[in-house]
Amino acid sequence: MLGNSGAGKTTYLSLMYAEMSQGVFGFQVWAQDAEQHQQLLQDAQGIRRGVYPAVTHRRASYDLALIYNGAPVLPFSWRDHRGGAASGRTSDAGDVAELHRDLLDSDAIIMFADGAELVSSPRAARAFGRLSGHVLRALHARGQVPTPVVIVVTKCDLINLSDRKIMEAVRAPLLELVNAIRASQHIHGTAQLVSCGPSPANVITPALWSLRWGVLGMEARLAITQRYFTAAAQDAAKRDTIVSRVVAGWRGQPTWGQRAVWHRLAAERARGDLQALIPPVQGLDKLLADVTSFL
Amino acid sequence: MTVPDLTLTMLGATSSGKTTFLLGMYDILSTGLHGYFTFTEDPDQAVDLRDAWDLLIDEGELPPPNEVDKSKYYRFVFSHGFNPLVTIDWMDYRGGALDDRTTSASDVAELRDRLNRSDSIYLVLDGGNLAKWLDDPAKLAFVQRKLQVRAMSDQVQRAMHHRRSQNLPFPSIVVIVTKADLLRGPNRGVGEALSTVVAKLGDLLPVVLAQGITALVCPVKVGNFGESSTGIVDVSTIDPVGLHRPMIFALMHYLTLGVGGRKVEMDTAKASLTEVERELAALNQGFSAVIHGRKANQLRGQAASYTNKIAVQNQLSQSDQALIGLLGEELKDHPILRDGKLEPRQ
Repeated sequence: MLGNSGAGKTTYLSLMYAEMSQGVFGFQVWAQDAEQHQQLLQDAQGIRRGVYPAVTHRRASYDLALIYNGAPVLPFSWRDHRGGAASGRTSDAGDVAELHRDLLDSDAIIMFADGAELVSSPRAARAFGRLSGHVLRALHARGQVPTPVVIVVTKCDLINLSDRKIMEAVRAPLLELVNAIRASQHIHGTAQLVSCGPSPANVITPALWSLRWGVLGMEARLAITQRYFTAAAQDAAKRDTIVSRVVAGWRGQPTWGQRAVWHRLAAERARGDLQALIPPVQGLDKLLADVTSFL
Repeated sequence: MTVPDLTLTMLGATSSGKTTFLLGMYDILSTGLHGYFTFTEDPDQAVDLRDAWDLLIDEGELPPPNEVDKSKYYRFVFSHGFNPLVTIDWMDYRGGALDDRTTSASDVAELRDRLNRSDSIYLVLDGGNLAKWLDDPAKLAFVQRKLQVRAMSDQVQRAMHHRRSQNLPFPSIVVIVTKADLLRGPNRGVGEALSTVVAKLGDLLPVVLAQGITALVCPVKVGNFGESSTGIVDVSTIDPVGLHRPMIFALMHYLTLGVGGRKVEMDTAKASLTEVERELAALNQGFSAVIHGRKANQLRGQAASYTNKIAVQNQLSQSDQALIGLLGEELKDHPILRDGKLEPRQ
C-alpha cells in the first residue's frame, strides 16, 4: 500500500479491517496479532466518530488472514508505508528503501490518491505521478510476473461524483497508468472510489479484489503441485518392480512403491486443498462480479 | 527480449536551458504521454528531478546552471506502457564543459570519449539567441559565439571522425531549440521562424548537414518565461511543449539503424542458404548421393539453421518497423534532415 501523505492509507486499512472482521458474505479478514486487531478496531471506531488515526511515521506490517466460512483461506501480510516514503530518497530514511523493496516483492500493489485533492490541486496530480514512477520501476524490474494493481481514490465523500467535470479531473492524472495497465497482458488493474470518513463506502472492494488474485494464484500453484505429484506417483508406480524392490532393500532406500504412495498422498493433499479453494473462489467471483476494472 | 541500451549526450552553452528541458521532459514522461513512460533506474534520481520540477512549478524557481556543479549523469528506462523499449545512459554536460579554457584536460578527454560512444547527441540552442540572428542575420557570428556552436561542432566532428575510423554508424543528432516561444518576432510566428532556422542551418550549424548524419530539429519550451534561464519565473506561464520528442527520435533512429543491420544479416544468411542448397542439390545427383550421405546431412542442418536465422531476423525486423511507425507518429511535421537534405514531411 503506497500513497502520499494524507491520502488515507491507514484510515482505509482500519475501516476495511473493521468491516471485514465482522464478516462479509462469509468472508472475514482477521489479524494474527491480538494487539493489532484491537488497534485497528479502535482506530475504525474513532474514524466513525470523526477522529482519524495519527499519521504513520514508519512502515507498519500486519499479518492478516482471509477466512471463508470460518476456514482460513489465505494468510497475507499488509504493509502500510509512511506517506513521505513515496517522495523521499533512500539516503534520507530506511523506510524509503523498504518501500522500494516491498514494491518488488509484493503480490499486489495498492496505490492511493486523494480524490478531493486531485480535483482541487494540480500538485496532487503530480504527486500521483511520483507514485506511478515507483510502480513502473518496480513492475519493470519484476519482469512478466502477473501483478494486480489497485488504484484507490479516497475521500470521494468530499467530491460530487455525479459531476462529469469533477470526474474528469479525477480520471485525468490516472489515465496514462490506467491505459498502460489495460494494454498489459500481465498487470491486472482496477480503480476504486472509496470514502473513508464516518460513513465509509466501498472499503472492502480494493482489499477483496487484490485478495482474489492471491487466491487465484494459490489455486494455480496447487493445481501445478497436484499435477506434479500425480505424474510422479504414476512414474514411481511404473518403476516398482521386484528387481527394484530388492535393489532398494539392499541399499536401504525406499522402494518405488513406497515413493508412489507418498507422491499419491501429496497429490491427494494438493487436491484436497484445491477443492477447499473452490467455494471461496466462487464466493469472491460472485461478490466481485460487478466490479469494473476502471472508472 | 533484449532491451537496447542507448548512450545519449546533451551539449549546450551555459543557460541554454538544458537542465530545465531535462526536468520538464522527465515530469511529462514519468507521468506518461501518449502511452510512453520514462523512469530513472535509481529512485533517488527521480526524487531529485521531481523535486527540482516541483520547485519550478510551485515557486517558479528555475534550476541553477550546472556550471559550478559537475556534469550530471542519469540512467533512464523508456517504455511504451509496461513494455521497455530502451535503457538510456544520459549525460547532461555542464555548459562550461564546452569551453576548453575552463575545462581540465581530463574533463575534455572524458567528454570526447563519451561522444565517441554516443548513439545520439543533443545540441541545445537557446531560442532567444536564435531570434536575435533571425532579427538581424548580420549577428550570425555573435549568436554562434553565444550558442557555442563552434565548440559543439568540433566535438561532433571529432566523434564522427572516430566512428568513421571504427566503421561505426554516426550518432543521430537532435538540435533542440529551447525557449521556442522566443523565436516569434516581428512578422513571423514560431513555425515560420523554425522553417528559416532549418533552411539556414548550413550557415549556423553546418555539421548537422554532413553526409551520414540524420538530425531532427526540435523546438521545445517549458513555459513562456522570456529570456530567463535562471532565477524566478511566473508559474502561470508554465506550458511545456514537445519535450518528449528528442527521446522518441533518438530511439527511432537507433531502431532504424538496427533494421538496416538486420537486413544485411538477413541478406548474408539468404546468400549462405542459397549456396548450401546449391551444394546439396549437387550432392543429391546420382551415385554421389549414396557416398556423401553424411555430408548431405550436415548441409541440411546448416540450411535449417540459416532458415531459422532468416525467420528470427525477419520477425525482429517487422516488430522494430512497427515500433518505428508508432514512434514516427509523434514526430509528424517535424523537420528531419538526412545527409543534409530535408526529408519530406509525413
